[in-house]
Amino acid sequence: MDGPILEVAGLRVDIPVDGSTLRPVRRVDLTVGRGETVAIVGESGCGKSLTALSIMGLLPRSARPSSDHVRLKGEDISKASPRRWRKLRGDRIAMIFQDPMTALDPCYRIGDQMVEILRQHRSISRSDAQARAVELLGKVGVPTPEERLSQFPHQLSGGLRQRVMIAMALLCEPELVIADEPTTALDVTIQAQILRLLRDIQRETGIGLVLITHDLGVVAGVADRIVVMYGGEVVETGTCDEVLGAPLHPYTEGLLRSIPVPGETRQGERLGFIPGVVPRQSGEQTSCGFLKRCPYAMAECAGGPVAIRDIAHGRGVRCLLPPDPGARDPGLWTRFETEEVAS
Amino acid sequence: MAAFITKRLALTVLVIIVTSIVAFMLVHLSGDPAAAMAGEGATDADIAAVRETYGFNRPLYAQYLDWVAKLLQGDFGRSYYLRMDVGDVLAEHMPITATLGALALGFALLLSVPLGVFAALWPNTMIDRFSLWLAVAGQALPSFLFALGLMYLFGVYLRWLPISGTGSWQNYIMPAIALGYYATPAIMRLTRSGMMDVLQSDHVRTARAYGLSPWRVIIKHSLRHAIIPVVSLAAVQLGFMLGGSIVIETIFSLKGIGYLAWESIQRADIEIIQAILLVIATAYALLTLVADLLNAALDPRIRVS
Ligand SMILES: Nc1ncnc2c1ncn2[C@@H]1O[C@H](COP(=O)(O)OP(=O)(O)O)[C@@H](O)[C@H]1O
Ligand SMILES: [Mg+2]
Repeated sequence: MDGPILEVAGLRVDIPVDGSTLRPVRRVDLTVGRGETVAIVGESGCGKSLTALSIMGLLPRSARPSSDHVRLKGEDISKASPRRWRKLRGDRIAMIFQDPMTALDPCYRIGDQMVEILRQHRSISRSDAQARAVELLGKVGVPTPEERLSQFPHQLSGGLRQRVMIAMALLCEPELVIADEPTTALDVTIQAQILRLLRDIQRETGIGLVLITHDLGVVAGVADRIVVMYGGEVVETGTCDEVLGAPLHPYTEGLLRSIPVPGETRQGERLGFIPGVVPRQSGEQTSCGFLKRCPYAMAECAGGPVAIRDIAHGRGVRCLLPPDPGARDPGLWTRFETEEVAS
Repeated sequence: MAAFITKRLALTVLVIIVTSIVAFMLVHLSGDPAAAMAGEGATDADIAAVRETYGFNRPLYAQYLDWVAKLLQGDFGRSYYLRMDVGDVLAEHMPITATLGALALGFALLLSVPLGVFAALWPNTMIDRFSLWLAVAGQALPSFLFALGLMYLFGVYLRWLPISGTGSWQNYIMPAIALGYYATPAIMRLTRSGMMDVLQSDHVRTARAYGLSPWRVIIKHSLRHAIIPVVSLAAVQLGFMLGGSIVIETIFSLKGIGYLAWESIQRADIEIIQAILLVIATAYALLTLVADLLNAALDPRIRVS
């Protein structure tokens, strides 16, 4: 009963594209406990969305997923029938998407879309379903929820639409909610509100929440644990404090250097960045995936793919360096950046 | 919504007015109507008398307004060839073409929309290739050839259907298929490409992510979007069909507007040609209006601001 809500092991997604095979997700392990918020963080293109979509069974038709298992409360759903998937989606796992402007169907009223989902999964009368929709819209902070029921998506602001999406996700009291960049498309002022709302809802309902973001700066205070992804792999895991306070992987270090710290970053001062771009993932790996962008790269790093090393329970890093950030020379970053700018 | 309808109505009326001016000018630019009416061998005095009697010597705008006033009372003038009121002639032929057009469009939609949807659901499969083949064949084959083929197969060889006449409902089957098939390729390709786009869209992904049943996803959340441009296209195609009915009705001796137009052109019955022009253009304008209203009903972004 108290086991994790979601256990993903050895997830991999291959996409055959004109002759070659892209491998945008290579080896992802992920566990979400009851009442836990796990943030998946990484630059865009590192396979976060595809990971989320494979958990939902919503990958594009061309994609070939495989895994050791994807368990939802013990049930392996990776080989579920389409029928079983439809029962699970929206009812026990719900997803919130990045762009609230396009995620709702513009042709139907907010209320009708919510009622339709509820009645797909529950035998409940229309009026009861409407009452539930109003209750949830109120709960996620949509003002005058009764009036919103008869409005169309285009009559609502982006922030409101994302609140509607969150209410939609909560309709059937799911065990797991996956939010894929839920604030990326919103104004900065609204972003914080929506994140706070997600955190409050998660704490109140005790659902498992997977929060996907490319911005390591937004997860503090929201996530319990952080999973850092790079090039289709998990490169570091740990609690929020561990990963933000003492990052072990050079990639995490680089991500943190590129977050502006209020008060510490002076006007006009240039932020750090990670030189290079996320490489296109195709073929099998013959070295550490981060090799080309790593300021601490050593000869051993080119020797072959690097396995994840467990430092402590729930704390792991995919790196050959000693797990002691204090022993590294941060000056290497600056030199590395300068070379990148020069070349 | 009220503002939208008002605007569209105004536009429709404008189109009809412009067409009526064109139709009116047709008579007055195609020669001297008085000379035509007076007949061959008429003296200058005869022509002048006709001109006086029918008011052809008045300014054009006055004649136009007079003509429009009569039109509004249902008086389309008189065919000097048939010696009948044009209104009566139209009333006899119009229902036949309207029936043919409706049946042809119904046939085209019933064939092409499901094919387009299936082709989009299973791209590059047998069904997709079959519908592509059907579309290419439809585009390549002249409609009169197709009509003659139908006629030979079902009328002459199998003897299932009458090959000409206006008497019974069976007379409409082949003409409706021949006319409707012509519109099938365009409607099917547009349905297919529209569905392909919508199936990739975010809100369809949401519908799937919330476990809605496949038919709800396909019909409610996909086809409703994909069909919006198809509605406009269908209106245009129906307009083309009204034009195309001139060939099909003649081949099948179906005594509709197209047949009447063909006959009237041959005998230069200018009053009837003018009325047909006006009727077809008005039908065209009304079709566009209906299509726009249907689209507004389908897509709330058009009607609710
Ligand atoms: N349908 C697809 N076909 C081919 N490549 C894809 C497809 N979807 C995603 N990718 C590729 O997979 C990689 C990971 O994508 P994604 O999971 O969306 O990244 P993220 O969400 O982390 O930004 C990207 O390089 C992207 O180009
Ligand atoms: Mg993404």
